[in-house]
Amino acid sequence: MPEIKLENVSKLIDQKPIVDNVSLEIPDKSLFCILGPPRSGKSMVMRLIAGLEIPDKGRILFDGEDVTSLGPVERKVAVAFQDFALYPHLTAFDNIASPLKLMKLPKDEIRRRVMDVARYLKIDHRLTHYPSELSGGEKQRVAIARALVKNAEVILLDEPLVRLDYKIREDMRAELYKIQREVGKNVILITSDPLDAMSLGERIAIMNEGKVLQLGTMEDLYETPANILVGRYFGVVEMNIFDGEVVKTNDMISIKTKIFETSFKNTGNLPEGKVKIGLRPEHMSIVELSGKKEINFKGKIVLTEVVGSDTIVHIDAGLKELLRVSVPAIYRRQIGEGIEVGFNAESLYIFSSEDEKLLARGGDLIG
Amino acid sequence: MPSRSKYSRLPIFLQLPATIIIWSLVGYVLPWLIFTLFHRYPLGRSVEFVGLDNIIMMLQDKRVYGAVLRTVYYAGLGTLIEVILGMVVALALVNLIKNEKIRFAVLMLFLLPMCLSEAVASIIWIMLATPEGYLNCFLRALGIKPIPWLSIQWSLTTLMIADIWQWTPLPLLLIYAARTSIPAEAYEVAELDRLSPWTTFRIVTWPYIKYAVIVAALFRMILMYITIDKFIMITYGGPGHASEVIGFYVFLQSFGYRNIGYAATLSFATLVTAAIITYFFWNAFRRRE
Amino acid sequence: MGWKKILGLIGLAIYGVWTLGPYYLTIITSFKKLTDVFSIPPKIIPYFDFTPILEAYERVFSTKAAWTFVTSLIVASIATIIAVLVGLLAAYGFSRFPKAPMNDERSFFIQLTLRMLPPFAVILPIVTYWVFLGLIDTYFALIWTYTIFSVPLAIWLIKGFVDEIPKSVEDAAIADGYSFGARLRRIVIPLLGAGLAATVALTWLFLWNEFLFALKIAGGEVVTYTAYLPQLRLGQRTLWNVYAAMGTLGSIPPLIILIVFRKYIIRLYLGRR
Repeated sequence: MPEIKLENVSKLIDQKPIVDNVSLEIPDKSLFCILGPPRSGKSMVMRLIAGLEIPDKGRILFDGEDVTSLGPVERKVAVAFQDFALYPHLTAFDNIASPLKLMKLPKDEIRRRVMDVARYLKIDHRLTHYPSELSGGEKQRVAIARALVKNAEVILLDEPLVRLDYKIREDMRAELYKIQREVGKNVILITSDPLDAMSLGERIAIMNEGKVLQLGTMEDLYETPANILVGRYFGVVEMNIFDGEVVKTNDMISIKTKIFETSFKNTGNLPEGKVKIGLRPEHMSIVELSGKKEINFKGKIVLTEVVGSDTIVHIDAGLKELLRVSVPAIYRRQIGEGIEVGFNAESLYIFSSEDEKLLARGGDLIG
Repeated sequence: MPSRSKYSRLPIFLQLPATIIIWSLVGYVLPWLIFTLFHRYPLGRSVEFVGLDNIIMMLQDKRVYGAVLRTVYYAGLGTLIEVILGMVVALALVNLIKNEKIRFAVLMLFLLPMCLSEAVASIIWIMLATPEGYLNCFLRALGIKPIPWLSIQWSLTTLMIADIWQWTPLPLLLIYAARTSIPAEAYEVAELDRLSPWTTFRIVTWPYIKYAVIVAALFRMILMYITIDKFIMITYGGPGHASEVIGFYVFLQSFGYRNIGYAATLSFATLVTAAIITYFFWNAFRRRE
Repeated sequence: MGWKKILGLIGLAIYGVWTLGPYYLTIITSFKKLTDVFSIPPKIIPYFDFTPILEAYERVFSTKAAWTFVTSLIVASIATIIAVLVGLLAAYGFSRFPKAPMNDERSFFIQLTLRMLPPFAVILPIVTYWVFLGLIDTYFALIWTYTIFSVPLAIWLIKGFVDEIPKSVEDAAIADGYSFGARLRRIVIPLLGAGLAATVALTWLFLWNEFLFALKIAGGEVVTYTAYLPQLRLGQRTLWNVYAAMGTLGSIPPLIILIVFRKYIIRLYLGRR
């Protein structure tokens, strides 16, 4: 339940910073998500919070107390590992009971608690089996059970869904959400899948190359990503990025790109010059289906990808890269056919060309 | 692994017992050798410092050169035969016996000699090679003139044959393991292309087993250089100096003639040589890993 | 079957006879009367060419010869146990703490180089060492020397097996609250399982078979069966059947280990190199 703080924490391996001066505040009783691509340092942050590693610089505080030199047990932290890390030579029951046995609890209490957790996670009928006899989903539940059973105050889940089948993943996401709500503890989820973060995280920290790029709620990251990387990474389908230019006249500010031009009243302090324009696939729509929007342009269909009940249409509009448009319907057309796409100006993301940081949203400029 | 402080001492404690045990002796051996090779211990008189005399004596000692030549013959030709024979048998085993269970059983039988002690292998070969022994009994029974296996001309070769008998299984095993790790698809492609057996070997098999062959050869060569058990048991360097390899010569100087200073010189020289060869061995090993 | 295949199988058979023949001859020699041993033509089929008798074995078991096997057993076993225990700790260090001092690659290679030292080059200083300590020809000297030379091998073998245990399982153990000792006992060793057993067997086998050190560091009061063998060779007057009996008896443990651990011998070579 504690509030967790990382103060300027760094961890180096072979002189290279895996975690580079990271400061985080994780409110108590929340479902916090640390998101990032591989090698972003997120797993190391988890190990540092858990107490499996000691930072080279900085401190870690639980509810204001310095726990930097304490181990996982003293910090009352539980971990469920990415590869489940179950003891192969013990049954599921003994795996879950293991932390309790080390706490030297009486046998019947151990039995009671293990059965409770197992029933809650619906694996009570598999407890006599060995890990090698369990399915991926079952192993996952045993790992989580082992983490839940010891009434720790912080539960760390290291990429819990990455080894599961696609279908099971969706179910598990819902379950994890339910578990956190019911258990009421501090749950920290480490993942590289933005979908996990989007469906589960109350607060999300995006990391890359050892640093925290942005910290905020899902809305924060979605609507005002700190830079292009966050914008691209944190989305259902990857955001489109292409070149643009900002031109100012006395009372108008124009945004010009190869495929469209639009003007606003000159209200913001957007600098002139080259910029990068971001447009999410799900913010664009197909004129044929939904009618024209504020800004429309034409292109040629290169590929249609049906994913679930949505379609991602890859369009060649004369830009350096193909544009992706996502529509919540099944849309099939021939390759090479013309298509007209529309979006509203407020959906635009305007990033700086130099440092790729977010300068403004289309909605800001409308005023 | 967590460390309570950044510099946990656990890793050092883990290594301490092994290090203490090993260096309790090794720490004495090297300094003793280096010290002793500059001295002489003549009987009855006290130790005298002789500077580089021992080293000069070694470089001028004709027996050393003879011993080195014999070692090159024994270890060089022996290793060559062991590796080639081992390779041939390993490949034959894989190609001719398709039933995995039978093949494994046969392999186990073939491994027997190398599990035996060198001393026991020596017994076996003494009984074969001694003038009245089994080899000559068989030859005589077939009407062939018996061969003086332990004579001046033959003894070194007989010892080499004994070592081949005992240690061919090692290259055999290594190459067998390498060969069985080749995916079957590689050979299917060769069949589709109708490649000849030799080409198949050259293009498909050899790249995979090359590493095993080299490791086996280096390993056997070092071991043949280091091991003198058969020499002590079967011929004791003789007759004359016929089977006096460098290792045995060092042994003789150490325990036979008791020229401690000179023995230390020879020991040190062979040690350095072994270390150099081992260095090359590990480099080849590391390049793979 | 093509004629090439038949030829190949004959070749394999010849190799088989070449490999097992000498061993077979030794075994039957141990059951022969002395006069039957080297006859022309050689008598090689029991009950047909000769009647097997136990005279040689009776000789062995009625003299101190039999006790040499006990000595070998004691010496090999004690040295193996110590070497494996010590080696387990060091191997764990090399595997899990490759960056820590004394645990890095260089230290590892230094240890392995020690294995490649010629025994004949170091035996003189070792003998003087034990003479100096007044411990020459004692159980302690031989066992201690054996332990020293077995540790690097044990470390090398065990390290490979420790590497195979996923680090995350140990992380889970730490998170559960296992202390280092408990982790080693309850998690690492059980998971090492048969690999550890194979290491013990292999280490023991090398010591059981060892000859040179047994001959020179001991050999008087403390006699292993290998050191005893040269004493049986008396030129033309050698009791060949007794000689063969000693060899046969000495070859039994290696045979047993080969049979019991056959799968691991393959694994060691297949997986590691």
